[in-house]
Amino acid sequence: MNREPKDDELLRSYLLGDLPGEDADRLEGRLLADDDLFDLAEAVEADLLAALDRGELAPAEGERVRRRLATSPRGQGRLALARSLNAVADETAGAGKVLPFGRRAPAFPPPAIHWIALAASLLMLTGLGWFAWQHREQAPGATSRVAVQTPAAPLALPQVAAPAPAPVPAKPPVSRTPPDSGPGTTPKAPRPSVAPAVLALSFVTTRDAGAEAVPQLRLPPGTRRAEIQVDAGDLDDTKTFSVVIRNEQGTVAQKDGLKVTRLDWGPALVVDVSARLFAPGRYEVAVTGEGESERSQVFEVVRGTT
Amino acid sequence: MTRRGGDGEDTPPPGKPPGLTRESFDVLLAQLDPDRERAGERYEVIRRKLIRLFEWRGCAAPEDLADETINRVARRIAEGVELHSADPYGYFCGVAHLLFKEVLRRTAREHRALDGSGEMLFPTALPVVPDDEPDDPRLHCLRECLAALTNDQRDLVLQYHQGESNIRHRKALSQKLGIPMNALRIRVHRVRRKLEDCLDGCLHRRGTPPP
Repeated sequence: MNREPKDDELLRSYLLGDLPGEDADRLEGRLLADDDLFDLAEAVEADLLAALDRGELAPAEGERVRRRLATSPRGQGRLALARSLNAVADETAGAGKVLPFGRRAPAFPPPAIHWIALAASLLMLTGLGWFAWQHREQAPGATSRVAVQTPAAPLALPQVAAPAPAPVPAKPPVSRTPPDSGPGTTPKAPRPSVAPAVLALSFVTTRDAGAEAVPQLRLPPGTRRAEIQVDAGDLDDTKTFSVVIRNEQGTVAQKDGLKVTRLDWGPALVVDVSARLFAPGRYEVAVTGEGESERSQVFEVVRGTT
Repeated sequence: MTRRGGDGEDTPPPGKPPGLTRESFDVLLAQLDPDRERAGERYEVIRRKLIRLFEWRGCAAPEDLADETINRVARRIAEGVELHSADPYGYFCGVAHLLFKEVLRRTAREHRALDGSGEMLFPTALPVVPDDEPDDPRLHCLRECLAALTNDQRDLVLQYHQGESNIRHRKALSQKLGIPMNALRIRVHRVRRKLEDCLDGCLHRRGTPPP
């Protein structure tokens, strides 16, 4: 193997069609003869496709990647693989730490419609927060922190012994600081997407609850993330917890080593999950603390509603 | 690996490019390596690479062009040309470039499908790859295939693909493994290739052939 220091940049230029003819010919000669260089070329190609899926490329560059690397059926297959890997990796990234939504800075300004959607979501969340605050003022005896909420519509609450709980104001998507952000870290702009769907749950007995009492996680079209907030008011916040989300087919997501986070409405275990993982239907979220038995709560995923 | 069929000249052995006689093919293999097994492996590698090179050049039928390249090389060998043992690939590369130029000229003549930079474009629309849906068999298969990897391989490929602080993540990963970034890329890619093969098999089993 005869590795040259700038091989990755050279390969990137080649793949994007920027390399002059003779240089491209010479590089292709090396690619045929050098297996490692060839693998690096395919790796750079895969990186470009993954970056394309994540919206990390400038529009013109993204267009070239799409045109040169993702037009053929095989290229489309590779793009689909990159997309699936990104989704599963994002899902796994939540294990052991809480990932904030909107953590990645886009490489280019998102379309205006996204900002409008974001602004509308924030406005709505502010309104909900105000409503919640007013409601709490009117019912100071309310003790439950349990609520079910999505950006689009308040949902049916699980049956609880306490009086009707106040809806929990959902956090704005950028309200939390990334756990690994240092003091000198520049705050990142939100990812161009709609707000995550939020579902807050508590471990309550629902023995007499009908189907309508099952908390619902609503996933409007375009939702990329879902945030499951599990009330941790009665959990030992010095411990770490394992949270499993499952359905009849098996485990959909699992986060280990989760710690209790303080949200606006109180302590919670927060699980950030790719919305792609949820088909409509019944799910169960199960929480197990170190040396403790499992506790679970059923919820339902509803898609396509706003 | 290409094997000779035992059923006569009418049934070419698998892997032999169409339009090539068995004799020419055997001569080609002999030039690639005296050991037939290893020669077959080298042949497969060369073919796979040629397909990718034609793909990266934007050719619409990369498999056909790779086979045509091999046919031409095999014919020249049958005529007495010898491959340099130090660089048997150089000859393939030269033939591939000539073929590519031919294709460019022919396409320009017949379809006028060249853009200003001489780049040949696919005459198809830009791809629309749908978002993964939860019931997407691809996602199910990917999970299956990830589960079949060793823990180290699975962690490696998933950590590499994490969106959070992507660049920093990868640098940290390469430092942790004590290898340069490009070596990390190659290592991840080899795992990804395993996944790709597994994914193809899984999708076939589920009746959803990959593209």
